Amino acid sequence: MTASLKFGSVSLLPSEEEVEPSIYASLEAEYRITAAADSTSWGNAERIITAVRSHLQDGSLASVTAQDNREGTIKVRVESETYDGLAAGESALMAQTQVKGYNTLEWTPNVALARPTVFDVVYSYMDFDFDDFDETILRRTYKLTLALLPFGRSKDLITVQATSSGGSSTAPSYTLINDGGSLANWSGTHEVTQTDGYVQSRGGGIQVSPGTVNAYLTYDPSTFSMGGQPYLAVDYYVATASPDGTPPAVTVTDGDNTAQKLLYKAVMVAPSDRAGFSRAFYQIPYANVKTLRFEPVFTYVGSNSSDPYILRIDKIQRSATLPSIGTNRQRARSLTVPGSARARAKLIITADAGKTLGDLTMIYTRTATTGMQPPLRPFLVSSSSVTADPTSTISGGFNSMNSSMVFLVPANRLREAMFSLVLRMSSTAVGTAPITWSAALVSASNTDLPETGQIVSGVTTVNFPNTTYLTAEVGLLQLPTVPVAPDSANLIRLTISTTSNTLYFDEGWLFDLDNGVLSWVDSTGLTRLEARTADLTNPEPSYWGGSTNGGGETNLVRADYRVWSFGTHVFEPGVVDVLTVTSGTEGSACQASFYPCWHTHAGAVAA
Amino acid sequence: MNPLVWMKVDGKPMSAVQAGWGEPVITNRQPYGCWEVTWSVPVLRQTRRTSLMAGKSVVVYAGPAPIWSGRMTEPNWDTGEMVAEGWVRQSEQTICLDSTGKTSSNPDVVIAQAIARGALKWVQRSSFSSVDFVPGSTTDNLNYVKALLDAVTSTASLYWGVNARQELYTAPSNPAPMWKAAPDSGQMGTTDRALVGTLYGRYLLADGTLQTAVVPNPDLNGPEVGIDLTKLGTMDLSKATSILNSILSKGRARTGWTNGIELTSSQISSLGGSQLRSGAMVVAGQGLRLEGLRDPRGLGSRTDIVLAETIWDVAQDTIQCNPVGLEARDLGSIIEDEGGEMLAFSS
Repeated sequence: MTASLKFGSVSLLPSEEEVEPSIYASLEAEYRITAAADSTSWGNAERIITAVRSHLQDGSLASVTAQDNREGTIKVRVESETYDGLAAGESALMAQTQVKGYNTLEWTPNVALARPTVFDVVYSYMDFDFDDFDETILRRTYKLTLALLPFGRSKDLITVQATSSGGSSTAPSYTLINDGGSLANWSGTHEVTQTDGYVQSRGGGIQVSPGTVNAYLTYDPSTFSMGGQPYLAVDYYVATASPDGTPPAVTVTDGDNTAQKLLYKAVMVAPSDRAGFSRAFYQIPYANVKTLRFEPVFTYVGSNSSDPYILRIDKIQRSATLPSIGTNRQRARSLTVPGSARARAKLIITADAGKTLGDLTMIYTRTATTGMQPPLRPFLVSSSSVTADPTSTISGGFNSMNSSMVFLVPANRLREAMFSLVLRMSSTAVGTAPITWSAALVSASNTDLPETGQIVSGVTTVNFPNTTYLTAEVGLLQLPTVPVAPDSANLIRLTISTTSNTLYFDEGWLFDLDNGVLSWVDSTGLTRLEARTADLTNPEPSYWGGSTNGGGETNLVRADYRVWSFGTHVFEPGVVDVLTVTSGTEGSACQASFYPCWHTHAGAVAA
Repeated sequence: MNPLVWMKVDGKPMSAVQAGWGEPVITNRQPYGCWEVTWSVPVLRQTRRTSLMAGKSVVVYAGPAPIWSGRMTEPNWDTGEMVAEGWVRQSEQTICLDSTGKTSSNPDVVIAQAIARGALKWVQRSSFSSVDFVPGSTTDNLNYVKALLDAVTSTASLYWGVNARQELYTAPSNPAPMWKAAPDSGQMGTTDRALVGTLYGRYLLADGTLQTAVVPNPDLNGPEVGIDLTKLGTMDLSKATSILNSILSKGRARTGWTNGIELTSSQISSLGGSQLRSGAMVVAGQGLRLEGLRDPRGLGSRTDIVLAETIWDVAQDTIQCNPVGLEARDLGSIIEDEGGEMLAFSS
């Protein structure tokens, strides 16, 4: 078995590859360097643990907030025919500890079968212990100590596209398949009932240990046609011990070949027109369908074993397209970060050919969750009439702000956090206008509750220096005003009004700043924007903007001075949601470029 | 580094000015609003950043929202400590004048003039007060803007300040609680050193005669305290009475506190129960309810305080909450409070 260990350009294990000639080659010195397994270790990342003050009666709360450098040690033996050769070997090693910039340590357990892992060296030094016997046999032993970044990384840079789940800019039209009005053709593994327009499967909370429970709900009519439309739209509601309302997967049986069935996960979740429910979309390849079996997975952790598990289906429809949130100037995307540790990445947005990003670019990232997406227009229930305008708005329409606007957001979709309210508005008159906002908890039918008295509100004066669209941050809100149980149907009523009668509203956002990261840049004239997390060569997060010149190249220039919200985007392994808003271009490509990071050994990365 | 909190100095993000800058400590006060921010930069031997000079504007943000603004004072390059003071501090060095250069005691006139000649970098969104504090507006002495605004708000139960958007504001002095602290978050010690019972104010009428206004404290029989209001110029009975009422409402009617408390964000939630994860929204002027802590001044089963000063250390995630009514405990302040002065050598 041939392994390979390279410190910079010096190989620390004999291999078939030629050792790179050292600068002392003119002395015709020859040496052999061999690392020894004993006393060699890659070290381990140091954990930084932060305590959290709590009232736990037993035990204490703490979390690992970050990892610090690991210390690797390698024992190397230099052997040669001549004493000058020994010194040349020592010099070759010394040169690597003094490399300008940052060096790398590359370890491949088996050159033929394993993939290399690279550790970034922050600094390194070497020590020597004198041994008289070794001197007589022309052998010297050194100990290399290296301070390494906590995680190993893959050798190759990869680029991952953030794929958009947004479709056309018009709302899809739906054809009803089942309206949840009766139990005909419905069955399930647990208690199945029908009430209030929905079909429900419910299990009592008798789970006594952590684990998962499958509570299937099956719709099995005579074979029905998908009418050439590929999307199944299901209005669902889940109550589960893990409070993020993940839509159920569905096993679909092909109507033309009932032996054929496949399990599908939702490609998109959008608001439903029934309060408290969400609409999940599945992409189905069959022309005809026999059976739909909904398979929510309820996960019990810890001591929440008495919560019931409930799945409700309000209606099943089919549609030709997916809804998008407004125009394609605003797109909800997601990208998958491979690896097993947090990576340092460059997030890149580029405008379509011939377009610039516009004066507004916002990038909002968070670890994937089906919690509420920031855009507010889908939740607008009351306002002056909306005029469609797909060319100059983000949301696809605008309305006057003469009447106050009311948004209703499901309270269980908001994690307890600090939210920033950002509005995009225009004014027909230059000057200032006060914007008043308030949020309160209300019932599922928008009636007041005792909790409605807990109001979060404020007034902010916004200055309109001209009559074009302006994006303004108007306040910080701690939401939800009163936390609710995961199965609650209560809503947060957000009211926005102004005394000015010259204002128009395009779109608003509620950005969760505790669980997500917002970058907001004035991207006037830019065709490309990069948001980079800190890395060894640039230890601060930074923004870079490029504008395509006549030669088609983008001259990247530091764009920090254009920033209205500075964010250090986090790329943890798994799915990262990316919401992009670009006022100047409908199409935009979004990708992340990075080295996947691993605990200690690089793994395979899907192509 | 807390990814949420960042700063702009001289219009540029701090990380673009100097890499490796350290966590800010943000102080707000009520009255006065944004008071001070300190942060640290690596000590540089040979270079100086031109953006880090006295007078450069500083804004601290949480995400897209400004949470503090002011300007730099002289940086300390030996230690790398940077200090910025809130825009309200400009009023300590701005004279009250009207547009013709005469002294004035009309707050709206004084503020507008100071902004127009560039002495104050505030934004005035609404009228502060259009009433001449001294009849006839002109004063015999030169006054600083801060002294005038302090005097004007002392006649109403108000605080004033300059907020993170550089806007001048007034706020009620006894707001309802906005946040609550978890039980066992701290203990409040009390002192009755500043307790007042009935207030007697000696004031000057327009015809030059002296009169006394009396405001009894309905809550308890406390010591009688005499206050000299003649320095504020001539006034009538109703104005004198409202000044005395304002003193009572600003905490003098009850025993004072001897200490503030230090909280982390995990101990603070909104009144509705929504837990905070950072101290960005807790600022002086808001009310804080200390749950489960009996009010040692009376019969309440919980204690509501109004925050007079909040100091948020972002790196440690601690918020020092000092309440209104925090009594001075050092000898110099106590003597000064009594109207005296510490002796210094004079031949």
